[in-house]
Amino acid sequence: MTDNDRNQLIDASRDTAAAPVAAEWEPEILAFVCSGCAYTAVDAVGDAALQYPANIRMIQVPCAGRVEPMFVLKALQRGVDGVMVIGCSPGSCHHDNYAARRRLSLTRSLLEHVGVEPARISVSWLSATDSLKFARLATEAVEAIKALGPATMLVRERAERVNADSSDSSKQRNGDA
Amino acid sequence: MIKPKVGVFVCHCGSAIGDALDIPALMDYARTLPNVVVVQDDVRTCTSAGLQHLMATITAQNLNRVVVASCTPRTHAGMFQDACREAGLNPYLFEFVNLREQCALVHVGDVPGATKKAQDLLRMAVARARHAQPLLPLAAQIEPAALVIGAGVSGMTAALGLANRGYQVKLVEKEATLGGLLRHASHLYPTNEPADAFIQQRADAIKAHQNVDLFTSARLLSVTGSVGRYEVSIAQGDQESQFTVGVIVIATGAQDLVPDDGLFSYDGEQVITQSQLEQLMQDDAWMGKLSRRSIVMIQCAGARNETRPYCSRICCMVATKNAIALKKADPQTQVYVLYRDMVCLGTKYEKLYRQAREQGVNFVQYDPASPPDVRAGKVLVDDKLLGAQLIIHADLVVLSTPLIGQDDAASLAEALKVPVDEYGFFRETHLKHRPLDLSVKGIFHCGSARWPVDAGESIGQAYGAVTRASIMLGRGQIEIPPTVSSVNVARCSACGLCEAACTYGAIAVMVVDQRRGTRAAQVDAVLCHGCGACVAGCRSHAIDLLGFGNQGVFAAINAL
Repeated sequence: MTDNDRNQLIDASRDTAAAPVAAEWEPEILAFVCSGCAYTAVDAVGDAALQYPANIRMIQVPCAGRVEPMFVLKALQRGVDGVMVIGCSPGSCHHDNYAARRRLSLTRSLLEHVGVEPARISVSWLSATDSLKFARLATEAVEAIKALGPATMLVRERAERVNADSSDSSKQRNGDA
Repeated sequence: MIKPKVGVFVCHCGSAIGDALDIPALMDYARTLPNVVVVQDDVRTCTSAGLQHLMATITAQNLNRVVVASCTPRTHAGMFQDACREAGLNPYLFEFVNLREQCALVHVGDVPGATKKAQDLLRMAVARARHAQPLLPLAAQIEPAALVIGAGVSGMTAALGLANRGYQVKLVEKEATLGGLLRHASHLYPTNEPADAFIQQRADAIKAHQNVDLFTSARLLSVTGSVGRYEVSIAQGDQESQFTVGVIVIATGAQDLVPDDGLFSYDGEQVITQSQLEQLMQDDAWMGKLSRRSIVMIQCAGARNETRPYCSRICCMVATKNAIALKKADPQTQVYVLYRDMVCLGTKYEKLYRQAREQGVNFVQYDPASPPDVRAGKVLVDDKLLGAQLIIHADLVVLSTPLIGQDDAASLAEALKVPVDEYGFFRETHLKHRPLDLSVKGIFHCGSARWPVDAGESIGQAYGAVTRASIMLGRGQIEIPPTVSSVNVARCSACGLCEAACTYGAIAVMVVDQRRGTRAAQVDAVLCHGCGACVAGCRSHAIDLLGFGNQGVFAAINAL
């Protein structure tokens, strides 16, 4: 398949799935935040009297190294418009997140191959004092994803805000092995 | 499985959260979430009244999951977990929602947006809490003995510190005599104490101390085990000894760089290092015939360049100290210090520098772009401040070469499974939070083994390492967080990817069933730090992280 073919395919799928977008659509972004330096930086945004758009939902992880590709895929399937992974600067990681860096960049390029725009997946590294950088990254991510429109690739179910017990999550794990 | 009964506790944080979010709406929303049996708010949940209220509700409602929505887990998770524990609830059945730092403070003026985000975060936390499992802390017994590697000033201080606290210390030194780098030093700055007397005093104390076993001319053969119980094997010549220690202090120090590439025409005769100068200075006959000689010192020789970009930190003071001593021995001696930047930290060392200037030591700044040119009997240098070339007569040129890592640092680091940087210095867990701890629990370091330091700093760091080690030794056992990886043997394909992913050497593939010969990965819970790298790296999905399991994460994602 040439790049052109693929782009056409992507465009086609976007046209059909993304058609009924409400005017007030706001992107929904899931951020995996490392509990080391990165979480501290995110926490300190308010102290620094900075703001960022309220489109981002956080999940605290023990280390960026804990973020497996399935987390990202599952979020995209769930209809999330963008995923951010925020870890500590690789040199000052409390553990060793070089593997995470490789794994996440591979995930990103594989997702690009199947048609998920790279701008939807961002992987960034913060030190504990990088609040300003986080506020900027968050704002940029929201802007970039707004420009792209709602995610369509891989989406299995647009989140219905149902409070159904996530019993399918255990199946999820068993099903993919 | 017992049906989850989730309690949601929303904190107003005075008015910090209450003003920025619609708390009644948030609470009404929380009541609609599955398994939530009680929703309660407090002005400040973290006050003693708030915590009492929290604990009373846990007991009254017989809750088996608790979600607190308040400030940041970084500062308050421990407090709320303790409250859960006190109320009889396992602290790992607790979830935190960060309403203040992630909603209230950063979306000011956007009450609907912030409230919606708070609802989403709360829904995710409740979904995850439903999958939480109780975990019991693990404990490791600590053998009340320590191994100190290296008997320089740091090692001797650490050994004496631990021995004086009543712990058995095994002090292992590769050389025949004690003292490390200070054996070659003439005197210490800023006290001018003779280095040999300083070493002797400590060496005598060590030899006389009943709690210290000293092994000189010794080699470390192997170290196995983990915190609390390290099995150490050493050799002195043909004689081998084995012992068990609870903690290890690395005090292997550093070595002087002796140029072998003709740096500044180094020849060991007319061009020598500061360390060699100090050995000459201990010779009274040599010091007696200094008369009117001219000595040129060159700073940052072999340091702060492409191969070694770091500053060795102590050379400025060493050069200043030696310059003062030479001037004192014979004021007619000409001493020049050619420097890039003089870094004499603090008032004490600034005073030393001032003293050198007052005694007539000449300080000349050079630019690394045009370094001094050492010729026979003279040194040509472009004085950066003067903007002109100086031709200095030189009877002796002294190079201030940096401290470099020990040749065997990398192999020692490998034996102990701790990290070492590209220059051969041990790398601490965290520069600011835990500067004397290494990534393996129960292993500490101090002195120039971790970075070039002088005798005073070595002593300070050694006492610090003693304190860190004593915390473990004094308690007799350490509690280890149960948030570690666990392997589902039935799924494990024994591929070993996790072994490569683990930076702590905490997971390894081994035979788990002798009869069948089944191989699988096994986690050493004591070594595991719970980072989850192996979990994410496992292609069979055979590993999960207790306390941060896949089920919980997927539940949270599904709830979004």
